[in-house]
Amino acid sequence: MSKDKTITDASLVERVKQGDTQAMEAIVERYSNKVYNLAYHLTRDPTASEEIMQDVFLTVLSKIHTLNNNAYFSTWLYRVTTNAAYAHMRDSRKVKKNLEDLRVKDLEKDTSQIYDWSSLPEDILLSDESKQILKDAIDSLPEPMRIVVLMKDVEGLKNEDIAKTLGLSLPAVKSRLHRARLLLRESLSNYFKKYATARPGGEQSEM
Amino acid sequence: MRCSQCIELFDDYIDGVLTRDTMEKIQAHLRECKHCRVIFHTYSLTIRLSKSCETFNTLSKERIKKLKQTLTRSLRMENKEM
Repeated sequence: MSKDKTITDASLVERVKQGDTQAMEAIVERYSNKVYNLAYHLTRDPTASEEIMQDVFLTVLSKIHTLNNNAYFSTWLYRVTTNAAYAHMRDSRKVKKNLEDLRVKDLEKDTSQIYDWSSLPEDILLSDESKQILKDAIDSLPEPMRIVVLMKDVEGLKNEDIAKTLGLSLPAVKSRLHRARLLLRESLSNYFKKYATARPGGEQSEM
Repeated sequence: MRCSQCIELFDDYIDGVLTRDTMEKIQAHLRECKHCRVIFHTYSLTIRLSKSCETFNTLSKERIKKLKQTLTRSLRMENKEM
């Protein structure tokens, strides 16, 4: 089986279309963890995520002939995964959609507790506890924001690909991302402020 | 530049997609306004920390092997049908 990372998705997809099982295995090597993780991020259910992953790859095989531009394979794969995960979530619980109710606190007026925790040492910033705070904060974001921030900041997809995957406009993706990041920053600020007194000044590293 | 405008443009500023003029206005505002500067530092760091939440899980080798077997069977069947 080929492990060569220089082979493009497009050429692998072309070979799968011809029925090449080795190319299909290479695609599984390349994407199974990504598909699983995306499904897991969305559903928070390891068993369901394995099922979703299997369904996604079976869907890929049965529908791959409908993919016109092989270079869009990964975007298409993420869309198939997102749809499958959403279908699962619709079945198991109600997907929250009240995005319009959301208002990020007006930062302009919020001058309380402005503490620059970015100068804290790495061992505090990257501690298991602070990572857990961030994961919980991501989890508690409203669904439309959570999916965007997961795809962009956690999984590293491009805005354009997220827009295509979710069927959103680019400005909608950017706006959700910005609001999500502000909310996450606020959660982290609330957590890190306990270090504010221990390290007076906070903002010692002037620009 | 107002604080709210500055904060609104953080993402484009970080991605480096703004005009030079706007970039300079943001930089000037950040120099003057400590409030926005603190938010900018912590906002940027929030993005960096989110990246460290990546990949909670790795599938077992057996699970991937099983998936490949299922898919190979399925692909062979489709080939026969065509």
